[in-house]
Amino acid sequence: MRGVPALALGTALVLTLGTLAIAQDPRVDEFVGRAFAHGVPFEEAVRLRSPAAQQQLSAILESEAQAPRWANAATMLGMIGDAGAVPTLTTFVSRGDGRLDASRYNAKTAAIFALGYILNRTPDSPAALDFLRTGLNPENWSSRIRWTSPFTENPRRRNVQLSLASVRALGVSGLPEAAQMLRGAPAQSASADQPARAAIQATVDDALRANAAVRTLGLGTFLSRQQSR
Amino acid sequence: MVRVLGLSLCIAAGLAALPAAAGVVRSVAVTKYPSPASDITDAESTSILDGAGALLTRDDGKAADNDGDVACAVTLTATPKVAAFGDVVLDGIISNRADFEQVCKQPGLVHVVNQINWCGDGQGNLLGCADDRPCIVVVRSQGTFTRDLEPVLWAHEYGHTRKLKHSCDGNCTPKQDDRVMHPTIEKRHLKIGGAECAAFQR
Repeated sequence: MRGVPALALGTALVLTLGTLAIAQDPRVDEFVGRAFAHGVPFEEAVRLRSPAAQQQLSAILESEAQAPRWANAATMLGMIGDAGAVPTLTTFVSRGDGRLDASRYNAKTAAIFALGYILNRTPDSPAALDFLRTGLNPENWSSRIRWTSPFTENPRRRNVQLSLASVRALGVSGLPEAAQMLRGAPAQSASADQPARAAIQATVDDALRANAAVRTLGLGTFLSRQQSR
Repeated sequence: MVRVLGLSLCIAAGLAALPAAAGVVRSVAVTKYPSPASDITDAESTSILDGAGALLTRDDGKAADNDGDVACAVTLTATPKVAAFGDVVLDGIISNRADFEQVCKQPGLVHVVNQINWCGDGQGNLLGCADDRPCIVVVRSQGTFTRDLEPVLWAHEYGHTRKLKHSCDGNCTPKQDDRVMHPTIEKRHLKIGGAECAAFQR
């Protein structure tokens, strides 16, 4: 009979450790479930930074049931994540096929943009930098993804929009080498139509300004000055 | 009749539908980028503006930070028809400052687009953006932003056109977690204080 309590104790210990292994921070869950008027607030997101939160956000991006939260989760993962989050985000961008709805499409572009946040915090993330550098050329997106945009049926236009997300990400990274890449971006879209080329040039101009400001101010200060309207 | 912010503003005295303490009635023109995802019907526009006005006008009780809530008599009425503006930004997506400026040059106060990735540099995936020229740009419901939150967003962005800032930013406490001008759009964020009301009515 003495073995029974010991067995019960052992079982409880295993269960407890198992629970700890998949521990959820309810604050992270609540945070990504919110509707932010002007995007995910950086300062609040980084307060929740932890290895467990990174795992938790990665799990959300894996779960189809969590699709409404994907855009916030991808953005937050960029804000708090390290280089280990890069494959999660790039795989997430590429995953899926067919015509996406607005929520899923927003999550894809948010994930591309989130790579810029990761690069800011972890400049030595060659996979992120390479993904964004390659993404500057609209034509490269055709081999990366199979899904289509809810906002345009034209795959060339879809590709341009994903290049624009790459441009914005390189801007917010604040990296000097990203600025160099941005300067070469308009030439990579020479085959696009005139409205697309104009959009790329205007977005590159903004991104270069952001890139310089992030380098000067730091990402947190830079973003805190933007979120007020 | 006074011209304010490019909108018709008139004193609401004598309008039976308004509360006794009615203040101002503002006629709001809504326009949309021509695409399915940014579509909004006349009825939806009217319903959202009614909801936003009701949120401002209703006395929701004492706010957690003791600043309000006041019954702020502002009625927002939709102009008769939601018009579509031209194909002025690529795919109805705001990607840069120039896109935002282009959309704001279009007729109307509220402009519905597909996606907002610029409201100041370095941001992405926004629900709304506004300035005091005035101009409001919003998206329809998507992700965590559900249809029932649209009146809160429109009231919030309308506050920005009245030069109101967020009730808190990055350092929000539970005491501020019930304000229309809170940066998170939630159904319980419906309170406005006296100073905010004065801005809404100005």
